[in-house]
Amino acid sequence: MHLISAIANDVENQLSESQPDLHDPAVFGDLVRAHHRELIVYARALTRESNTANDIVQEAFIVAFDKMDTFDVTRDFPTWMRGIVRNKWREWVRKNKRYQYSDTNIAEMDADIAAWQAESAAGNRTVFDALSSCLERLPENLRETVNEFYYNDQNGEEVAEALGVSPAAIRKRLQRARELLKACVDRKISDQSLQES
Amino acid sequence: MNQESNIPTKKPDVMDALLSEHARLGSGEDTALVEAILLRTVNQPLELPQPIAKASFGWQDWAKMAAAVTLFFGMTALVLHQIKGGERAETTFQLTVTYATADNQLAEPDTMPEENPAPSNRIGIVRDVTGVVAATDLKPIAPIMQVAEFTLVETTSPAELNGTFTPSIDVFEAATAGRVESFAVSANHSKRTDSALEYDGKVEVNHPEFHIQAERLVVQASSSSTASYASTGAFQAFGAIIERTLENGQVETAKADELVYKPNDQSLELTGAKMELTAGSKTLHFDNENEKLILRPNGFQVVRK
Repeated sequence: MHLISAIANDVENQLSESQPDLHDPAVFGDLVRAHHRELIVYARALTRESNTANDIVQEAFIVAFDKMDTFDVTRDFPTWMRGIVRNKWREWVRKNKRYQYSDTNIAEMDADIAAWQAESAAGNRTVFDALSSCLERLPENLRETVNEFYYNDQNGEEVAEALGVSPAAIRKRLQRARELLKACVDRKISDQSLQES
Repeated sequence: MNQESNIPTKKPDVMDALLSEHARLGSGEDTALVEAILLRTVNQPLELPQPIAKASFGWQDWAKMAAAVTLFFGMTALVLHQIKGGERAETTFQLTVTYATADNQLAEPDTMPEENPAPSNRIGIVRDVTGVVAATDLKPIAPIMQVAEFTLVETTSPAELNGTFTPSIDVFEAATAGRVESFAVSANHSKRTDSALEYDGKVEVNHPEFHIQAERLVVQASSSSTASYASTGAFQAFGAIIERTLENGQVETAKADELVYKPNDQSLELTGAKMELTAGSKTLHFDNENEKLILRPNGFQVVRK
């Protein structure tokens, strides 16, 4: 009986050691810092709006803090947070009646973000670092298109005018660039995971 | 499927979101968002105890109430009077605009050549000894000092600045790729050394994007010290209070022991034991000497030194 009790305590101790104590302000702060950027990407992909995405992530962390007692320690924190972000997004969709995504699409995106969060949480380089590296490898015409559109904050027509090509060509270039970057980022993230294992 | 019947279905583009977010903040953290979350969770301010209600309503309270009622009726009568007269109260301010020419002489606007109007990004603001505000399009007089990140031109005649004198108004132009910005420094005392221009006593910096009051300010103005120049920025202010208006119209003020302005990325780096950042009714305190508060045109960041 004593043995069973000791084993149970040991398991419980191991479980509590491996799971973050969300009641600890320092731990909660670290979790916010570690995961907020990937969650913003997640919320931004869902909402297509920067400010709304930030609001949703902020609200999601506040919900997590308020409901930390209900956090299931057998699940991991990033998964729990993505679930809260999704719920917040669904609330937003209901209020704003904009568009919806299929569950399959959401699941695919969820898997991407989960992989990125896992690398970041493991202390490896983040998806943003990987993206910086991948951007340097893009072909010149795609890189300058991406730079103008995303980093110089120009719309498709302005980029087309600046680069002397049609808006349709810009759309194709951006699509191609995103595909190449996605493949490159995925490769870098999976290479890191393999090195760890 | 979770689709609502009347909402169109689209496909999310996670790379579009990732690129947009990377363009916004690079690989760093969103300090403003983190601070906002922590302020609403683990760092929530403690609620102050409510003052105990007064048991009685004394004569002082009656006097205050009477004064408030009198003021209210007075203001109402004034407003009604103006509405009745079909007039609207207006206050007119006159801005005196003068131009400083290349030899630093103040000239009247009609003496300026009209065929070559000043580009808006070359307009600086200087405050002269009598407090006249002048818009200037000064041409470089001192040689341009080339540095890795930006160039700084002292547009005031160097001959005037030898030795110590009071007061001082100097105009500088900082040039980065595709952008030139002017800022003016005024102070009770200034001194030129081999490596810098030093100001103290009611130091003020007028820049189109911000206004700084400081106890002391140093502008690195020697071509022989370019190595330290890039890291020290255009100027260092000590005991500084900065005020600026953000893109959303909100006025923000910050205090720090030391401040460095870097025109190449339009950042103001604040350091010191006690830093404060106030926007609206909220004030953030930064007490960690190992952290640096960076004000950027679209917000702020806190980074480790």
